[in-house]
Amino acid sequence: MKPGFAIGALFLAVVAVQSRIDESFGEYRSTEEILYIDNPRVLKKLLVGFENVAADLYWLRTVQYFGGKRRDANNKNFDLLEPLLRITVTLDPKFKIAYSYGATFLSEPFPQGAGMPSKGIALIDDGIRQHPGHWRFYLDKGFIYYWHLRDFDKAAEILLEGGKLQGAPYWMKTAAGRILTEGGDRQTARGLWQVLHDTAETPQQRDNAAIHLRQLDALDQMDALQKLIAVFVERVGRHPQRWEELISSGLLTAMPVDPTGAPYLLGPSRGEVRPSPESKLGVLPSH
Amino acid sequence: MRAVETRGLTKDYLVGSLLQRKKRALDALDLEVDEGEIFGLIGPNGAGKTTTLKLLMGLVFPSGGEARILGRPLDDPEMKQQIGYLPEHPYFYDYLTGRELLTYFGQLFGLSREERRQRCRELLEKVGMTEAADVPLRKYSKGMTQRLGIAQALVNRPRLVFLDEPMSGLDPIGRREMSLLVRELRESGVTVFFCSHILSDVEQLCDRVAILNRGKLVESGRLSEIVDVSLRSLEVVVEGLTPELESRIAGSFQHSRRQGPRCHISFGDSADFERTLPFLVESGVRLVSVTPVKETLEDHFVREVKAGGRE
Amino acid sequence: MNAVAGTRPSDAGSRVEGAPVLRKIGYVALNTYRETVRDKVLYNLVLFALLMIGSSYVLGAISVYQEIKVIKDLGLASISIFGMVIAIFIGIGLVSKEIDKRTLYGILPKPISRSQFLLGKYFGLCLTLLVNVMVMTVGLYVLLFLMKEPFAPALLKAIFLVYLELALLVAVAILFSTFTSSILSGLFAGFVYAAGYLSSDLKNLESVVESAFLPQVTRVLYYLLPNFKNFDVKAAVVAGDPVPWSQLGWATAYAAIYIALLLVGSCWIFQKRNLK
Repeated sequence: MKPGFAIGALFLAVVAVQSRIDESFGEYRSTEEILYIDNPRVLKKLLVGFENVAADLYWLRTVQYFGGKRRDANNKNFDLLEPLLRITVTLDPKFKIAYSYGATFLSEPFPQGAGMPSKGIALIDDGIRQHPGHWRFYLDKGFIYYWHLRDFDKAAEILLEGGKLQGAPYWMKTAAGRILTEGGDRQTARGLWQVLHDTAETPQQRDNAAIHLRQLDALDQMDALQKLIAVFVERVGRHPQRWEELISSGLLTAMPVDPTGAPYLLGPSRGEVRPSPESKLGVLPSH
Repeated sequence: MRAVETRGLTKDYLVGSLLQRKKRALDALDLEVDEGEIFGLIGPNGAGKTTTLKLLMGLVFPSGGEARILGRPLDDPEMKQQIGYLPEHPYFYDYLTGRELLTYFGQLFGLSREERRQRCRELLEKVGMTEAADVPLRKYSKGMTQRLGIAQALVNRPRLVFLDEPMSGLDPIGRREMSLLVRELRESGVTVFFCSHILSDVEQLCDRVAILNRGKLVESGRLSEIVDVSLRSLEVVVEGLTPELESRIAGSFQHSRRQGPRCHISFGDSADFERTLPFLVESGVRLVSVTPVKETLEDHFVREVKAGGRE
Repeated sequence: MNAVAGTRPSDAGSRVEGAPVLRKIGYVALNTYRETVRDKVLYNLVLFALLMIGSSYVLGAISVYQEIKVIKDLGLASISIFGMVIAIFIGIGLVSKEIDKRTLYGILPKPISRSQFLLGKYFGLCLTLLVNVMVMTVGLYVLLFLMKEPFAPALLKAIFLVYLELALLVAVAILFSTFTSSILSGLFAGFVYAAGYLSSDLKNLESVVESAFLPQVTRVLYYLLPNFKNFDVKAAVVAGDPVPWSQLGWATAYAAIYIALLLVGSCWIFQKRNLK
């Protein structure tokens, strides 16, 4: 059937050309036109009747933008994250997930997030204004104060307030208490990250929590290794130069690796433990 | 080579919206038209006349059988170069004027600009549309459209023209002109194939006819062969025939009817009349008219169709 | 004397070859152009478009320091939107109207194949679009000139791509017009237009939805739908960013191939269609 062949061949050609276009000009296109009109209120007026669909669209673009940027080691700037989120929630203020997602990733330090916790707080405050009974937002906000800003008093206050809301899980109040008493200790941190992991609403937030849990594990490991090194110093009288020395002295059974599988490195001079630069742990928290 | 030839030409349609049934609009039509003749395709409504033409013109595709025009397949552009077609309810681009339409079609036939100009003029004059030539078609009356229709069918000086109900929409003068035109065409050697249900026209013009009913060919052949041309009766109208005189010639006629001073007498054949005539003349009876009555095509047609059952 | 028809077969025989194919397509195209030009609706649309472009002046005055940008933005958008409306409204009528009104009964018995006819109609409408786009372009440039803005040839790149987009849309409209009624094909064409603009977002679904099956489906859909984003450089042009010639080249290639595909499909369908 001649026309059939022609159509098939032309379609293959279309696919080929489209792929080529995406390859060469895709990046350019996606950033430029994402925010052709960047004023959310104007946008809302223009899209009358279709705000929800448009909000979904912008949400898709946000996730793609952020996910794409994260994978791409070279382009390190998340300028568009906040505007995209703003547009999404302006078009559809009921889009609760967008607020939480924004709170998480705007606050995460670069390169895991945009590194702008104040913007994250501003966004979540808008969410709280729109949905005063939504306990989740209090958790998100409280967490920003707790983890990124290290303001334990404020964090606890927020968690307590959220815990009073209907439907809030019981552990919010207990967590508040622990933060007040234990402050920045690792166990509290682990507990909270575990909670965030288990109750995550998007796969990206869940993965983010998992990364942080691994980081905490790594810190524990590094502490343990540090203790072993101290024992070594006591026994042998100097700092070890290589892990093999610890193994041969019976303190270690194998080469130590971090939760992502990358080896730990022994510091150049005074026996510090560091993760390998190739490790996927990311930037470790300082606590 | 015949002008038109069909073998087993069949067309089925699917009717109904949900459960579609097949309806056979044309059933195994075998037709032959020779060059140079006027051929009439007749039948009641829904018999399949227009379907036949649509199949021949390539507007619809056959479900079975085959057809050839001028010995060539139906999609042959060289064949189309030599034919003309007038559709049943012609509708052309209403934003064009008559002249523009003819020019456009002339372009499609490959006529040169000079040829187009001349042909336009000729044809418009021929169909009496010269004054309306530059009026847009949307303002045409039915008669005007019909005339333009015949003009566009002749743009390319065709060897063979197909006319679907050519007389429709024409006033009596127009119909007379159309008849003349058809005869002229035949005189120039053009084959004319036309569908009509005005049987008197067909009887006047056609050399051969085919009768369709419910998609099937009922009969086809020369007009003279189909219709019994032998005399049925002789209708004689006289004045001054007294009842007493009438009773004298009682045996020689079939029946009579009085109408005022006149009497209509029906003789069985011309011999009976010829025998009676001298007596009538002697008796002072005045002859008003003598009319042979033959079977008309209409009689024949109605009889055939009634036999086959009407749609 | 016989003015009516040829007598001997040789009369007709001398013209058996008829007009060359390309020329026939050309005649149909020109007649189609004439058809659209005489269509009152077209004038209204173009008038509207020029009004839109003119009113962008008013809007520009409102947003401080942004008049030129707004005029360019709205001007380009008007050309695109009105072009789209013209393309769909007239495109759907191209074939459906001829079938409904039976004007095809006069054409198809002539020595022109259905495909040649269809192509002629397509190119005729492309010509109409070209003229309209040029009129609107001139209107835009006149306005910019009145605003004392120096001549910006970069806008022409965006307009060229808009024209390609419209040519593609017409081909879509024709495709639908070969097998559905006017109203339906208009709806479908409009739908394809919207979907084509959002097709790149289809790909993004992968990152949000967790499913192994869906990405395959969306990827197929993405390639299947015409990607109108390929022709959208309005933002870049107005912002003054460079648009490489290679991008224009690839977009043109995409348009040409996709249009060819649609036309082949349309001809294929139309060839088989029984007219009522």
